Amino acid sequence: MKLNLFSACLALAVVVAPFAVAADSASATLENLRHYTSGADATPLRRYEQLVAQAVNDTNLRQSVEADLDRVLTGDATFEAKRFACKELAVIGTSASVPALANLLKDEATAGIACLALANNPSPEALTALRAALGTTRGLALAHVIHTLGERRDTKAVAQLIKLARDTDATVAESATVALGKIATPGAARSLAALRRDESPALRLGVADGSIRLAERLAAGGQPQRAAAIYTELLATGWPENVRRGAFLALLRLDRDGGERRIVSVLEGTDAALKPAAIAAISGIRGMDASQKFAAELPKLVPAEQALLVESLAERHDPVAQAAVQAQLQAADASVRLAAIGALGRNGDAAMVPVLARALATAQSDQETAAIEDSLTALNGGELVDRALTAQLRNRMAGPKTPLLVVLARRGSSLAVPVLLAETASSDATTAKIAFQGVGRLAGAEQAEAAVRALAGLRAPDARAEAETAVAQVLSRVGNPARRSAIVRAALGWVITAEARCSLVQLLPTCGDADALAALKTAMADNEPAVREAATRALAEWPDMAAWDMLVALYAQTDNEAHRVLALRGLVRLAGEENARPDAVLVARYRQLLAGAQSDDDRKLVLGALAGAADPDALKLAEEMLANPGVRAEAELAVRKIADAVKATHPEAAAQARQQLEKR
Amino acid sequence: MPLLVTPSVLGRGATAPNSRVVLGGIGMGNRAMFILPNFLAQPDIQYAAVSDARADRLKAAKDAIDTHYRTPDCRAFPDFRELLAQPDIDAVYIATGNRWHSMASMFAARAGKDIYCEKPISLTIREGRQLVDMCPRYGAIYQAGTQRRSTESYQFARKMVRQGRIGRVHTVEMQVWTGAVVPHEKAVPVPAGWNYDEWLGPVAWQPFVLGRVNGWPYFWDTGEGMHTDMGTHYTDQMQWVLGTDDTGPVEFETSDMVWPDPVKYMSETAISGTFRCHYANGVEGVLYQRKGFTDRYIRYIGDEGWIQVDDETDVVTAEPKSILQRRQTGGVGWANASSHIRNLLDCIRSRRPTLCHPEVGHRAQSIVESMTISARLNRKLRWDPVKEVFDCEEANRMLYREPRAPWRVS
Repeated sequence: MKLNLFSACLALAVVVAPFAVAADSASATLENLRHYTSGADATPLRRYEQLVAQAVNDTNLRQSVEADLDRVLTGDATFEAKRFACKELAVIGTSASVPALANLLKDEATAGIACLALANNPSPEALTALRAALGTTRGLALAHVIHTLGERRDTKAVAQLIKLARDTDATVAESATVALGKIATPGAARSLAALRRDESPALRLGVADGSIRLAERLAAGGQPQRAAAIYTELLATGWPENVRRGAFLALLRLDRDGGERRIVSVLEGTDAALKPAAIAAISGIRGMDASQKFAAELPKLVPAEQALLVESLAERHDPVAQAAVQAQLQAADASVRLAAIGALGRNGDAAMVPVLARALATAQSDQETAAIEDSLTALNGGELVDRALTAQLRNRMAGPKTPLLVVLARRGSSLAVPVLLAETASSDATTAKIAFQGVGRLAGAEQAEAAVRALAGLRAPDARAEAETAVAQVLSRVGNPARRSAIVRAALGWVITAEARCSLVQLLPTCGDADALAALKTAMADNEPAVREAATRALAEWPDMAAWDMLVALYAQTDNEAHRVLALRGLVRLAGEENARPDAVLVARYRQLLAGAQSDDDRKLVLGALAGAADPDALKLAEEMLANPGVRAEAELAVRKIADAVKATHPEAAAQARQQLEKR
Repeated sequence: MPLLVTPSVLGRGATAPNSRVVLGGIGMGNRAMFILPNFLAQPDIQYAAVSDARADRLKAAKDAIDTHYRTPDCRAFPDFRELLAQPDIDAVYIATGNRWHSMASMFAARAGKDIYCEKPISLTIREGRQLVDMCPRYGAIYQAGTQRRSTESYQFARKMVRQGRIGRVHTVEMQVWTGAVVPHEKAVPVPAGWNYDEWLGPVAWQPFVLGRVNGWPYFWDTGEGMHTDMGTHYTDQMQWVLGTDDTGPVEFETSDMVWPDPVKYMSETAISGTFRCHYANGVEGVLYQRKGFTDRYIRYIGDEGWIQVDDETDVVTAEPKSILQRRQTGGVGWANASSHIRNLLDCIRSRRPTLCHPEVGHRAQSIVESMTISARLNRKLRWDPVKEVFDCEEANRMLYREPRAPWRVS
């Protein structure tokens, strides 16, 4: 049952039922709630949750719901019922429910759920009840009460909390110490100052915690000097490192210069606990000549610190900092150079293209080259960066091209396509491969003709495989098969070399129209053996049944065993693709293939496809093959699969086939 | 790229061994064991200790780590506070149930540990804010486990939206799967090997009910339902892509809510529903809780197209399709958190904010939690993302649940 449905039913009951009935129902629900334990029907709980939600806009309902929940807190209600009531009173409780909640504070088993409700109860009576409990509870219940008073920042509790901060129960003492920091009255501040002086090891973290909270309150309340004094105490070397680090960061926020001098002082010192935090803070310091000052510290640091400072400087995004980072591209230490490369990539724009391109020329390792490629790829600035990269590629003096091509291809801009197409003519195989890969990814249909020309004009033989793959990708983006076909056939008309003709012939299946098939037929009679070979392989890849007869002819007539197998595989693939529409023609084709088979391997290949033809005649054909011991297993599998597939439409044929299998 | 630094730069004096980050795991259940290989694969992590309130899980985790290192040295602590007291541990990975996430993180920050904590970073909005305040208080580095920010598919989608490839974004659709229901069960004695008090932690005490313990995501105190648990991954993405990491939506409402039948089920959270939020600039976020586990996605819809990441497969689809040509190949899916862990390790060394620092995690969680409160009160709520208050007093009182002693630090 949905709660909204439940809610609708409840509303209906209120409207149409006599008051006495509704009252009885409400009374029963309350009674069920009071006795709720896990395992029982949760309807009373869900009903009161719904009533609490409705009470948001209804003062009368709110009072009555609170009164019901108050009744749950008293008497013999179960713990789980009281827990539920406290959760709901946390949302709608007022002073009315405080007495019952105060009663729960007396018992450690229920003090926690009482605090759950009282912590969110805005009435002064709630605070009064909690303060009273400071003198009557012990242990965890007391710690809980203290915590709640701290969260409520109850200034009237300070005097008692000061005493409790020196309680022998460490949990109680720590809770009181932290609560004093939250409440942050002058008395609380004096108490915490004394506790800091005491240096009690057991209370050390609690005192630090309370003191930090006090300092936060003072800083937020317009007393930064008093806050800074506390943080300065906590910065002393005797405190835990994380406390010192936190105090240091807080002091930076309070310093009038934003922490500039404090950071420089740490950078020039030997405090290892603070130095990384100081370097990390540099990116946010806004002083006029801050970048100059921080950059001046670079030579004084060890390389690992320099690497961190380079990153922080780069995030300052001003010319001085950027110049300092750029200078580190020539640093003696590799980790500093890598940091500078990475930082420029994350924070730079198109202006960084020539800078990083120059760095490519002086890169001292493959790792550095890869890092520069990554940075160039990451540069912000969209097409401005792409234009800068293409300009860089046209600059003959700019150094190595290959990484720039990699970057252009990775960035994925269509602006890169003309540049990449031009580079496909490179005689360097690596360059040509990268260029073709980029063309394959980025060139659109309108660039298909240029891509085919690039393939035809390939000058690096080792890049041919990448080139063919890439151009096929681009051609596949031309929606009209006739257009694809026209582009490739036109190129076949003017290419000279056999290698180029081979590549183009292999694109013909991607074109897939009748003209392309005719061109393929012509190529199969080419004077060049390599072209004939390419055409035969392309025929085996033809995408539709238009190639069936040519493949059958090849299958039946060739004396080249490799071609015969290629043809059979092509035929089986085409037949398999027709399995979705099985008919007599298809079964006849399977029969034709089996008749022409020259070995059991051939028959197994055909049976594998035949198994997918859900047709009773296909089933018969498969059954016929059961007699051949060399393909028995494949035939059985085919019979089972076809029988399963046709059992709904041809139950008798399927049953007979299964019986035949069982007999054997 | 990892930063290689000397021990002195770690900020721990000259004592840090081998520049490794010494890690402890808190909460070694299914999620922790799933992600364990991603931590162990980091060359600069030494997984040195584990903690769990369940003895069986504690042993399994220790065994797995010892097997990896071929030593018996992994320390095992039933009480995570003992683990936090170990001075050699630099950082902790927290994969407890959601009820513990913020509190365990605050315990860790105060103990001087850096943190990787699974999402959601908190269950209530106020404890989330307390965590945000706590980390700088102790200079702790914190990474929320919303690792999709480190995942290529999501990074690509963000880049395309931020480059304006789909025009002005007006809607972000998100989808998590249908929530489960938990049948009624009676309380039973706490089984041997369980520290149930610690397991429950800051949640108000309640009897041990196996169904409630195993089905913790489906109760308000412990999990807040699928739209909170999983939804925060997507609200985090929405915030990141919209560039609203330091703020959030201003309005929340819910519809089509389907709740468990209280006659049959004790679980409290919604089975399905539609959760909406609106940003001040008019952008609408719609989080659907419906359909199956594999149907989750996030889709950004603009006035010139859309782009979607299918979370199950990491497949990105878009209109216009030309957008997809800009995607680089490679990159691991969200299931591999290595990049996210690497970001934490780099930040531990540099003391710089992580990708998913506490404010980021808190804002993402605030959205799903606000949706929860809107659903529970069955009303539209206006939200002030600066003051972090609603226009409804009762809703404001649901921003916080007083944690149980002694399982709290703030």
